Amino acid sequence: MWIPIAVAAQVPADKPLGVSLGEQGLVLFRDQSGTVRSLEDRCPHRRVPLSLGKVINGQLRCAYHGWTFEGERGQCVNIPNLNESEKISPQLRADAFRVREHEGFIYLASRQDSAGAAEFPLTLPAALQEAPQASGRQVLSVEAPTYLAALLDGPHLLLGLTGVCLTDFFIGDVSRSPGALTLYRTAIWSHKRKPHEKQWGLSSLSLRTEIFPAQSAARLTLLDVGDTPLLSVVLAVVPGQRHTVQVHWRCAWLADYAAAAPALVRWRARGQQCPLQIYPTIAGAALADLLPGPSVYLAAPDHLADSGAATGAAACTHSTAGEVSL
Amino acid sequence: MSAVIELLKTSEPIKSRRQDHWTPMVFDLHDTWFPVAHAPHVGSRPLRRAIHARPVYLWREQGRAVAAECLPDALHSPLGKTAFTGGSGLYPVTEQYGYVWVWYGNPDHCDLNLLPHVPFLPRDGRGIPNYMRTSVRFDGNSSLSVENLLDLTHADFLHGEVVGGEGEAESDVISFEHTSETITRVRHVVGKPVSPVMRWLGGVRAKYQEFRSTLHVHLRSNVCVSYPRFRPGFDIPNIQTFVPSGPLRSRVDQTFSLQAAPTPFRQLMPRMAYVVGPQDNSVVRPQNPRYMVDDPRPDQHSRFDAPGVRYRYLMQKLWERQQQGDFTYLADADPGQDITALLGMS
Repeated sequence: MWIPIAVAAQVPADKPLGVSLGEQGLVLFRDQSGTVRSLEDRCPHRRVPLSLGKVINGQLRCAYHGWTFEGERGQCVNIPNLNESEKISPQLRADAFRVREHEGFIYLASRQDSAGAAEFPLTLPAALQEAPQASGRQVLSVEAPTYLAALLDGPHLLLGLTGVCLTDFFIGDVSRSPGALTLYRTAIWSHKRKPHEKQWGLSSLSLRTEIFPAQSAARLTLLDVGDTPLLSVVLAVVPGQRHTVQVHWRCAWLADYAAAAPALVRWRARGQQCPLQIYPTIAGAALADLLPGPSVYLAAPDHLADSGAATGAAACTHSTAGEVSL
Repeated sequence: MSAVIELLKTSEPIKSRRQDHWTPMVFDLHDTWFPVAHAPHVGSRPLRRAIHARPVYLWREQGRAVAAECLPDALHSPLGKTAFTGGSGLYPVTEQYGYVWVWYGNPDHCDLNLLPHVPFLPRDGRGIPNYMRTSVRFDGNSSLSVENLLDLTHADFLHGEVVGGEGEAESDVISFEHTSETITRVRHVVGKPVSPVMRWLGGVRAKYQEFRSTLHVHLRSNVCVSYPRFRPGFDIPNIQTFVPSGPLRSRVDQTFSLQAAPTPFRQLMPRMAYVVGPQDNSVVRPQNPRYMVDDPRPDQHSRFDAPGVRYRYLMQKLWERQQQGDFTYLADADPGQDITALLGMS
C-alpha cells in the first residue's frame, strides 16, 4: 500500500527534505535523473540527520563527515579523504525505502495490504487538471486520526474556502467504497463561518469529503448544483513527531469558481491567489466541543453499506433556480 | 491508518553480530579535576554551575575561590551537604592556567598531581588576555563533543568557511596513542586548501597548506588540550573544557594561546569559537537524543574513526572499573605529566 507523505513540489532538485512518519524520520531528495529517493534520516556513521546535508550530483552527503549515499539502496559511495585504493564496505549504508511520485505527491510503500484501496488516491478531478493550482504544508498539534475525524465532523475548524461557508448539514449518510469513506454536506455562498438559517435553506453547493483511512489521506471537492467540481483539495494527513500532524495539500480551482455567487461574495473573492486556507492552528475549545458525527464510521466502517448509490447526493435534487430540495 | 506503519525497504537489513551499546550519558566518572569556570568569571557573588547534574556554586572569599554544593548561606546548615563532599558541602578547589578547577569525587583522593598539564598557558594564569577566553554551550553529552574533536574530518564540511576547505587533500594520516586515562590523536594532512580564516585574517597567500593537529584528551574530565599547526600559517594551541552540566548539555570554556600570531589574527581567531561552536552544535544537538537509547544498530566506522573507536573502548573500561568501586589511576596513567613533547611543541 502506498502512503502519501509529501507534496512533490517540496522536494527540490538540489536540497534534501526531512519528513517524518510518526516517530520514523525520513529524508527525501532527488537523484540526477530527478527521481525522488527516500532514506532513513539518520547517517549510519554517527546518527546525524541526513536531512541536514547536501545533494551533490544526485547523491546525499552527510553534513557532519561528508559520507555520501546513493538513493536507490542507500549505499555509501564516498568517504572523503580515503585513498583511491581504499574500498568502501557494502555494509556501510543507510536504510532506503521504496518511494514513488504520482500526480504531485510522494508516496512511500508499506507492507500493509491495500485491501482494494486506490493505489494513489490523491488525484484531482479530471475537470480541474488544467485549472490553477497551489500546494503547501502545515504542521498542527493534533493527531492524524483527530484531524481526519474533524474533516468529517467539522471541516470549518480546519480549513476555509474563500466565499464558501461549510455547513454541518449532512446530505444523507457516509457511504463506503474500497478504501474510502464518502460524505456530502451542504455549502453556501457566504463569507460567514456560521450560516444564517434562511441562507442555509438556499444552499446551492455541496462539499464531497472522501477519507482514505488506511492511507491517512482525504479529498474534498466543492460541487455546484450540477455536481460540477468547482474546487478540489487533496490532503496527505501524515502523523508527525510528538503526536502532531503534517498536512500536505494541493488545491485546484476554476478561475471563475465563484461565478454563481452573489455579487458581494464574488467581489470579495476576486483576486484571490488560492481560495483555500489550511488553518495553522485549531481552536482547542471548538475542537473539544465538536459533536461526534460521521467520524464514528472511521472507527467502525463495517457498519456501513457498500457504495454510495442510495445515499449522499442522489438523495437531493437541484432546481434550476439553484435551490436545493431535500 | 493503523498505529504502526511498516515501510518497505529496498534492501535487506544489514545483519551484524556487533552490538553498539554506546550510551555516553551514563559515564559519570569520578576522582578528577574539572575546570569549571574561567577564573575572572568568579567573583564575590556566587556563580552556579553543575557537573554531571551535581550543583557547583563558585564564589570568592577574600580573593580565594570557593566551590560548594550549596549557596554560602546554606553552608551553615546540614541541608545541601551530601556524602559526595564528605559532609562538608565544599569541593576541593584550585586555580591554575586561568581556570577554577574543582575536584569531582572522593575528597580524600584529591591530588593536585592529577591536574592536566597545559604547556602553552602560564600555570598561575597571569597575563592571559581576556580576548583569548571564550564560553560556548553544547546541546549534547560531552562525549559527543570529544568525538567531534577526535575526528577532525568534519572540519571540511561543518567549518569549511572558517578552518576547513571543502576538497580532497593530498594525504590524510591519522595516528593515536593512549593510556588508560588519556588518548592522544595526531592528524597530519598534506595539500589541504588554505582555510579562509588563515587567508583573510592571517594573511596566508599560499593555495595549500600542511596541517598537523595533536589532540590530547583526558577521559574522566573531557579536558581536551589541542595543538593545531598550519604551515604556512600559525599554531593555534588551545584548551577546551567540556564540562558536563548533565546528560543533555555541556559547557566549553576555551582558552587560546596566540601570542606568537600577528594582529588581527591573534585577536579575532578566538572569536571563531562563536562561529565554529554553533556549527558543531548544529549536529551535536540532533545527535544527542539518538544516543540516549540503546540502539541495536552499531555505528559504522571508517579508518578515520580509529581514535574515536578506541576512545569509546577506553571510556567503557574506565566506567566498568568505577562501577565496581575501583576509582584508582592505573600505573600507565599520569594525567599531570608534561605533554610538551607529546603535543609536538618546539
